Amino acid sequence: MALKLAGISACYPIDEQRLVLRNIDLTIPDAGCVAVVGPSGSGKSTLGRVMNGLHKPKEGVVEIDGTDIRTMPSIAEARRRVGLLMQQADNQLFGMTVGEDIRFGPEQAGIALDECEERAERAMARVGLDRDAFIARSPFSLSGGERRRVALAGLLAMQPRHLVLDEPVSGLDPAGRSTIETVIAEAAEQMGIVLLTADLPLALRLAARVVIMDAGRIAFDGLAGDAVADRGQLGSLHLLAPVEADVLDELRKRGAPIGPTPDMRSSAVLSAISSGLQSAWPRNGLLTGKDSSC
Amino acid sequence: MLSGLGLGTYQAGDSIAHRLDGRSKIAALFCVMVAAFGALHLYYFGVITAVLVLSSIVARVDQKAMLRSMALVLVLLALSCFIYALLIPGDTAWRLGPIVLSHDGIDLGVRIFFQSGALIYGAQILTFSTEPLAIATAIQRLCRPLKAVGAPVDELAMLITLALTFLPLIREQVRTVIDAQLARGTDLWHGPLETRFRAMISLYNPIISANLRRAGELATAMEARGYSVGNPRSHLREQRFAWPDYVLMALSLALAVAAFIA
Amino acid sequence: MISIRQLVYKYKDGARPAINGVDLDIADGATLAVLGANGSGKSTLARLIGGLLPPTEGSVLVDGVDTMHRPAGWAMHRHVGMVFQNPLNQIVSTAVENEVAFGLENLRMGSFAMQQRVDQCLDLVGLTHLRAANPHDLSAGEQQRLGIASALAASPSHLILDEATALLDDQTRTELMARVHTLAQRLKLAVLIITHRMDEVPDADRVLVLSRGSVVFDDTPTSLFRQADKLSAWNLSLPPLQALTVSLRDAGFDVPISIGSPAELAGALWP
Repeated sequence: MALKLAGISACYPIDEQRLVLRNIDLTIPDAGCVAVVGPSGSGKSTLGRVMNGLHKPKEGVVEIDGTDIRTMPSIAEARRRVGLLMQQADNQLFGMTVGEDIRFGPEQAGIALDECEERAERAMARVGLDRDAFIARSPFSLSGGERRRVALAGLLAMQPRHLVLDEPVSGLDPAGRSTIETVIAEAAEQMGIVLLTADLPLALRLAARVVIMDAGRIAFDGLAGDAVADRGQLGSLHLLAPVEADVLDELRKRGAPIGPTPDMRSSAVLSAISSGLQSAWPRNGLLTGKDSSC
Repeated sequence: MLSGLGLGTYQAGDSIAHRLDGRSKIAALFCVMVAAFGALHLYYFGVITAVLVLSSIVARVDQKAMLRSMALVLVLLALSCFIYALLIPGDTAWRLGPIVLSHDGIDLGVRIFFQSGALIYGAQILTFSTEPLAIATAIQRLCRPLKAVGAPVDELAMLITLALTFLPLIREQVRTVIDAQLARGTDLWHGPLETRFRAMISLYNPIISANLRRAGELATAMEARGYSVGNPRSHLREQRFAWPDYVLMALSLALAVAAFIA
Repeated sequence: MISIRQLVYKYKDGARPAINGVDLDIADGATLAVLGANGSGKSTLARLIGGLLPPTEGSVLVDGVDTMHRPAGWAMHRHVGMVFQNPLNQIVSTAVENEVAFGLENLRMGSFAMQQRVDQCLDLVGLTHLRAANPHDLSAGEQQRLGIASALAASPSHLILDEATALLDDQTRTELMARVHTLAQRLKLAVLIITHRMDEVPDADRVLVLSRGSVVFDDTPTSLFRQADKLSAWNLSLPPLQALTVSLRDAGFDVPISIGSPAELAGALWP
């Protein structure tokens, strides 16, 4: 039940000679989170649009669950299976009420009205929007973070197998960010999430597999921990490695016995450091009780 | 097609036309219109057309692009004028079966075609060689006498300028919302008509609300830089009449006057 | 010099005051970060200082003048320049140089003097080569630089950045803030950085935290990081390095709270 891109090349009508995507081969499983990271202009947004059928590639095949999307009876079918949350999604709401906006997707798919309402309510619960407080409000009276959640709920209500998120937390304050990040982490347990972002630390917090894009090509596709290994490459792509990676590097440079860290999420890094240093604790005498002075 | 009507087609350049004061260019366009409406004989439209073509060459307009964007409009215009001409009674000048075209009909049809065509062509040249801001400033200065009777000339000019900066943003917004609808499975070609219709209508809400918000924020930003309604303002580049402007004015006046005599 | 005394502000439809009794002095040339969650009142405070809102109670004095009793001919933007969050909602013209000139046109400055000043401002932010470009064609980072140039055109001694980096990506944000700090030193500007991003805090001399309209913290950035426990109550989050330091301390490692770099942390963990 995977989303597969084979040999995808894409361009825009304004300049057919300039390839925004070059020969992309990528398979996204229908569970878990894959982060596609790259600076702006590396083609991430276009990749998202190709996955959702919004952009027709110049060459190559997009297959959803083994079916070429070009052979589907209508392209809308592809969009229901692969949801796309575009950048600045809070500017893309258009319903008169929150409820109406979230129901839009299922309604367009021809689903019965009462089922649409049920789906909308379930989706609102998933993104943490209280049904009674929000369902009848106009989307335009909400804050940026709330609108972002409405947009996400609108996609979840369509029950896609895959969900592509293009910079889902940009422009949000810390509270907004952490809400959306939680929703993404939970959703990744049930569907295949593709996270498009230029923020490498965000990608590493949410995904175990990282794909790095450089000028339309895939430069790396593998585990998060390996992604931060080549700092030179990251630097040339204007990607900032998370500070945790720098700390681990420094520790290893000094000879600290830190094991390999394929998972770069902060909890994993913390336990890697703890277990690595604890083994040398008697030698160091570093560990002290929590109530020592600083 | 919007660009065929001369909206937002400014191309930066350094031709003589670019360096003329906006006021003289607008006044020249006005004189061309006077000439077109006052022309005694049909042949004078040939003169006007020649003048306009010459002007577009002087302004170094991309002729091919200009023709391409005007083509549709001109064809529609020609068609409408032809149909209109058919309705005018008079001595028969040409017939094809039941379709009769009178002398008066030809005269009127041709006139209307050239009058509208001259306006479109002239406006194209104007907006091609004059920055939107300069056009707004020129209109403002030309209308200054109206301030004496209480017309809010300066505010209208600011409104026009801001509307011009909003246009590309609104275009972008419409595209974004349509994309958002498509991404959620709108099928423009299948599905019940009512759903498709509602999807189209639902474009208004986000555009209006986003622009209301934008307008509010923009007003704050302008106030933070000292703007207040009614306050007199200076301009970075004072457009001043130079001798080419006087030459243009003389030529335009001549064109307008000659229309009534020649 | 900005003096704020017993400032209270209530929005018309507000249940409680957005600013609830603030006393503050901002010295010339100081760099002050103002942190707070959405709804804390930080943007309202920025607008009050910029003279865009009238205080409900209390007063704001900018360079000795009460914002509500300005003498004729005293222009606010000659003393306080403001840059807002969304660059697209600040653009008023179709050319970069006209954008910078806007504030000067409102002062009825003469054309020649204006052109010189515009040249200077464009040079300050490195946009001279784009002077004839349409602001809409610029990148977001360039647009905010343009916003800064436009705000500085009337030579104010105070610059307020109201979440000016919120919509920028990390690299552009870092570059923009570095530029702001350089300009502040060079022009001896007092800079007020309104933000919810903790990583913009270390470069400031002083940090204010606003919560529900009141100042709940007013001290140096370093002492702010020591208050890790209060941060979540104020709806703020630590920058990643400090967050890791705090987690390590909680796990029992004796590392100093004021860690400034990964190397420093590694050195403290494995001397």
